Amino acid sequence: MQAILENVKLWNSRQRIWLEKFAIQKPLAGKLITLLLFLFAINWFYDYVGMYAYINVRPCSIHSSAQCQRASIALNYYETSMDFFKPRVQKYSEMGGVTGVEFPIMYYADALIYKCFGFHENYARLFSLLVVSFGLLMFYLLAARWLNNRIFAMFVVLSGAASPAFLFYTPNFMPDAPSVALVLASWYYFFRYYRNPKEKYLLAFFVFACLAALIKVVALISVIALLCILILDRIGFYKTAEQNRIFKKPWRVLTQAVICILLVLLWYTYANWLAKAYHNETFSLKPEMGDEGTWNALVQNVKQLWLYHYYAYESYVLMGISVLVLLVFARYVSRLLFSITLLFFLGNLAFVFFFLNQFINHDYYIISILPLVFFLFLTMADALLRFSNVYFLALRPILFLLILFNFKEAALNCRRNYENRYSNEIYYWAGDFRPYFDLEPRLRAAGIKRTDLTISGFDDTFCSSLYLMNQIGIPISTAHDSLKIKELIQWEKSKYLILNDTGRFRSVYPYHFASEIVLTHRGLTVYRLKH
Amino acid sequence: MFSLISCRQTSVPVREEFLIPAVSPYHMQDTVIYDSLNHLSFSRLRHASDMGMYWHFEMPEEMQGKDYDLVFEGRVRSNYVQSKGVLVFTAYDMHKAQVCWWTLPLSPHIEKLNEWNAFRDSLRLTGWINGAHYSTIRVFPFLGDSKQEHLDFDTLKITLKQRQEL
Repeated sequence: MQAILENVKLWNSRQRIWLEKFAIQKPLAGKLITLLLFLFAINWFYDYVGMYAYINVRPCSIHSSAQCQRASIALNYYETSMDFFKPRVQKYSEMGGVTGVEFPIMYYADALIYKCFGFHENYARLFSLLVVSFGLLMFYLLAARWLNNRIFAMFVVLSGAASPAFLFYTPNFMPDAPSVALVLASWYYFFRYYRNPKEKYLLAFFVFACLAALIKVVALISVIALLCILILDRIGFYKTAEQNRIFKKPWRVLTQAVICILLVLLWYTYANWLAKAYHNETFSLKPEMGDEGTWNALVQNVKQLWLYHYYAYESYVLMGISVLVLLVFARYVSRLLFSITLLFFLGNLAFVFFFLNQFINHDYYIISILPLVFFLFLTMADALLRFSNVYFLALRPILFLLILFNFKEAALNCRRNYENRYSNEIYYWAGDFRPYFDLEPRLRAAGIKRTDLTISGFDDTFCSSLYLMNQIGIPISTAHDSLKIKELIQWEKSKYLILNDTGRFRSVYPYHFASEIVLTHRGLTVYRLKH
Repeated sequence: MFSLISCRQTSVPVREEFLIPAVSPYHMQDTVIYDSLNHLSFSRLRHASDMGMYWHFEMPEEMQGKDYDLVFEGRVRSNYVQSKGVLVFTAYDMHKAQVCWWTLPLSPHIEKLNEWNAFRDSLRLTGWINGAHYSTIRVFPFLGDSKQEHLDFDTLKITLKQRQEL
């Protein structure tokens, strides 16, 4: 048996030597090909899914309310004040709409672009897309170096990114996908440090990880994972013949990690204070664990609604295979990659536990978990390639075909899901705000200023209609009673009333303003309340 | 695998239907009126629950069970700002039992009152609707519960586009 194994090894190594003749010898050409391959593949993937076709659309579809909330921060930086530390939303509040929010660097950057090129939401979408693409590129470079195989690295990245929810929120206004991209970029620098322990790489890791956590606090998992790796490193878990320790200066790592965590905590404390001090608590900045029924509701919703918005069936199969591979080929699994995957798994478990309630209705909460999937696929590919290098080189084309066909189905699911999310059915389900899309020019032409306080009925979201027509005001939801509506209409500050359903309005407020109509537009009626 | 490389066209027209008020034989409760000033005929709905000219299509067997985009184009006019006018899509199974009644509201398309407004809207159809297989589809304008509204159509172009196998 031993002799057979030795022969197989020998034959395999001969095949490998023969194959290495075809490797690109010049490093510059290799880098160029790596970059071009990524650009070509990612551009094709975006195009195939349909991202470019919808890059110009206004915030809409699933969670259009959350999109409008975030987009309104950028718009208010642009329109009201560029004071970074006072983010504002479109909904009126006594203290100028200032509210507490996650670190608004993305929205601030959007506002800066608006200042340079004028307001258009596709700049915000493109900027978010660029940030995410940068993160994917970084992870691709990491995978390509680690696996020493560009093609497999590409498929690892694309398979991880083939999540409909992730792709939908990539060219979007939400912070989740950019935060994941920064996490991926941070790990690229960690692996650079691992290969070449220069402090600048470690610093780059912390800069990206800190930014990611500021944008979305769950990204702190990366920093905590690094601290765990530091502990494991000190007890010699990663000790190899070539390398004694990963971290040469553990105290420096610890200090940087603590600074990073403190910065994140500082910002979220400030954001909480801001929301309370300005009496405008808009965003969820604290864990929401839910109650006893939450788990059942979550399981039901995930099964019936969200499961294939997270990933395709085929991707789940690949995840299952990956776990199996890690068990079967445990000898060939990199300890470092495995521990990062495991730490992400444990960290994400804690995240799900603390934000259980949010997962019921929010598909985008899954995005923060995706680094786990990227690392799982990378660990699996690494283990199989290592095994194939030693025993069975023919495993490579088999693995290639498996991932290729798996990815083909996953990409198809993404494309169908993407088109579905932008279809009319989802528009109506998420609230049909199309009449507001082009209302702003008509309001300005009628002499209505942006700051004229507007009551917008009926809008069950936080500020979608107000954001889309760019008016500061207060939305009336279908749950408002007539007393509250009367109060709002008679309030001295209310100047205009915009209704999308006059019939419903008359049923809760039995006075009409027929003589005060300023204009009508696509089913909307604009009334003047004060002269 | 070759389909992966093509990333452009996702659906191709397989059936087009022009509903022109003056010549279309398929009318329900609408009235065809001739506008002598502009020399055009239009179809008018003016009572609650009025249905207009319709397109009835019995799908050949080879067309059934596939995914389609149903695209509506035309010109509409209304005198009521919150028009209750909708385009209705209904589908029937082989026993003529109705499997769905879907509506597309027209009010977002009516930018100007009492003037012709061009519109374009679409619906996505899968091979199965509400768990049922369908073989017949019908499309028509419908006025809803409006009492004083006049809803006019001068033409209605309906295109059935088959979604490409990807």
